[in-house]
Amino acid sequence: MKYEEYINTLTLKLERNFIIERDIVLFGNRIEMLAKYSNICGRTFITKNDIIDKYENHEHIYLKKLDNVTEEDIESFGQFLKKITDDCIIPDRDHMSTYITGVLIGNTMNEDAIKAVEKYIYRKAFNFYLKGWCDVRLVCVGLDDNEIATNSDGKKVKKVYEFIS
Amino acid sequence: MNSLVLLFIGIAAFLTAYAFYGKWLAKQWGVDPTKKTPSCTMRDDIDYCPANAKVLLGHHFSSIAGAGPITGPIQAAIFGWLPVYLWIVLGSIFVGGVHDWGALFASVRHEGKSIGEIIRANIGENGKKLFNIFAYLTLILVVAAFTDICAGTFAYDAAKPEAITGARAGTASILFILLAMGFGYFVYRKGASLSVSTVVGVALLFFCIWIGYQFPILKLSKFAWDVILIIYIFLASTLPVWLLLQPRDYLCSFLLYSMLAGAVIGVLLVRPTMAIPASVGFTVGEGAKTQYLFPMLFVIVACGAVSGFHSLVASGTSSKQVENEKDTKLIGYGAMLIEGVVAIIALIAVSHAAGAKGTPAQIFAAGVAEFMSSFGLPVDVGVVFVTLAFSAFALTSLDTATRIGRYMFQEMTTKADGTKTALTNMHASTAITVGLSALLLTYGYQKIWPIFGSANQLLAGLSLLAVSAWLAKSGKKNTMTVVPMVFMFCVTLTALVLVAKGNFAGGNIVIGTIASVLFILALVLIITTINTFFGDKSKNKNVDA
Repeated sequence: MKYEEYINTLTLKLERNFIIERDIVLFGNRIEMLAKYSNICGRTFITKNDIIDKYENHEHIYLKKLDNVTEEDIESFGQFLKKITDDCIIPDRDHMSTYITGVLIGNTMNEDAIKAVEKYIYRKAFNFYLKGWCDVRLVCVGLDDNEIATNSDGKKVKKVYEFIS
Repeated sequence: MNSLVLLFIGIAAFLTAYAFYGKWLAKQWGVDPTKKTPSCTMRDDIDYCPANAKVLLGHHFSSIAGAGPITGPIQAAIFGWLPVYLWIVLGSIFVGGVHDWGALFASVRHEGKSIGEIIRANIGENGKKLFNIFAYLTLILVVAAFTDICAGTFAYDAAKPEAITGARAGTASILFILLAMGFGYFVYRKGASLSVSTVVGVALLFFCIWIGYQFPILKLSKFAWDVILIIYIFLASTLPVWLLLQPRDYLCSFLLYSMLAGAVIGVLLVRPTMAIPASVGFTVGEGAKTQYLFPMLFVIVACGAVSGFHSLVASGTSSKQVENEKDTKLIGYGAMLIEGVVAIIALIAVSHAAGAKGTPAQIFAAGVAEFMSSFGLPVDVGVVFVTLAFSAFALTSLDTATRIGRYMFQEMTTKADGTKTALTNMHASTAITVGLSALLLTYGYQKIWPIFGSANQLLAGLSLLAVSAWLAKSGKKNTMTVVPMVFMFCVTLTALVLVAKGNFAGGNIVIGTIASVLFILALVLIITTINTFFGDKSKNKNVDA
């Protein structure tokens, strides 16, 4: 599958629920696609403004294109996702969860890269969970061999990034 | 009188009313199945989202059902079972059901706006402030009443070491809270399958009951339970909702439905005879403790026949999800009639446990556990199970009331320009709300309940007033809402006068003062609302159909 075809199919999938931005630069990293989703639930009393309680769940997808994915790329992208988590997620009292999904797309990915993806883990609890948590999901896609590798937290969203021919 | 007969007559009356009176009301109000509802015309899949009528009935019922329809009939049983029964049946059909359905239908015809919103939008800033103070005082009473009932139920008396039912239920309740937090952690944080977690969670829930039964380690005084519950309410109202409340409420629903199913099956098998007198006359008690059938019966039964809180739920949430106008009958009228059945079961339980002493929870548990013993559940275990279910109900009411009370306090202490004060802080406002309720605990729930009932019924009267005004302006008949409205105003205002007088005479100055303040606020609110809907024509556009 070609990158353009893949990204178009993925965009069609995501745009129903996500707000999508293209070609942005964050912390010196060029990101081909940033997709954001927020779900806010709560109970109100009398009017919509009288909020008794509320909680928010977010998911941010950072998609980056490379030619060939190596272990070093995983390391570097993993650090970038950690920085995003540490610097950009500022939870308030209504925050429940944020899932940061990093997606690396390459034509190929080697065995070491796959191992590095599978070993990657980054989770953060805010104020002992009183302000929720953030998990980083890492997904790596090899277009030539229709391969897909995820870390343990990324398994839940693996289907989203599987190939549609 | 055999209670089974009463249950069947009650259910038959409800079904008949649903079929015939409901049909007549629908015709008079112009319920139109072809008319599009706000859930379709304003659909945003957040607030406005069409839902299947039966699913919405379930959501609506679980929102309006609390410990009220159980507590009220049990306390009102001092007047004898007949007046309580008649008021539950007739009140649910002609007052409570009409009120709930009317509020729901009016809201559907007003783009899903709530009755409170319509009133608030029309009565101006001062009216809104009065409404806030009125509702805030009511909520403090709710918190005080249910805290006292729960603490009294769990309390252990060292002078009676053999009476360990409370310690068993208290131990099980604390374990249940811990279980709920664990359940939430595994489902939300660890991503455990909901169906598997539910099976395990429900199994562990019954294990908690068994542990509490076998090892009642929390043998604490009422005062200690008061303190524990106050701390619990504070935490439950300030902690993130998904950490404790959501998983607890989810598991609670299984507890609730199994208790109701067990109680109904038990009544069918036992067919108990009503063991309390049918009627004891117009006056009960002596001196400062005198209670008159009118108006006290009608405020003490409270949610068992009519509740103002229901109109807030019906018009605040449910109306935005109604898919078809014809569904409003099932959701608004049907849910209230089901609550009437719960109230009848509570009345049968208190009659069966005639002579049982204690809090409404203990009396209800004693009665229902006896019923459940008919299909093999040991009475002692049944008592722990039902007490846990009741307290879970009450704790949910406590938490919601505290959260709403906190919100109102924050709103009242925010300056007109939106500037927040130190009192607006979430923890400060929660502490003050809970603290004020704690101060009332010394008076006991028996003294608090009638004022809560009066305030809640008065809210129902105000909602009926809003619905009546809308029907009149739409050129429709409104006798069916005006008659119950006048009745509820008479009941609540008379009750507040009597409660104030009785408490001042008995030296309960704080309770007497609260009743007096509520009476004055109620009068001002009624006059303001009547003026709003019938006096100033320029504001009428907000209530037009």
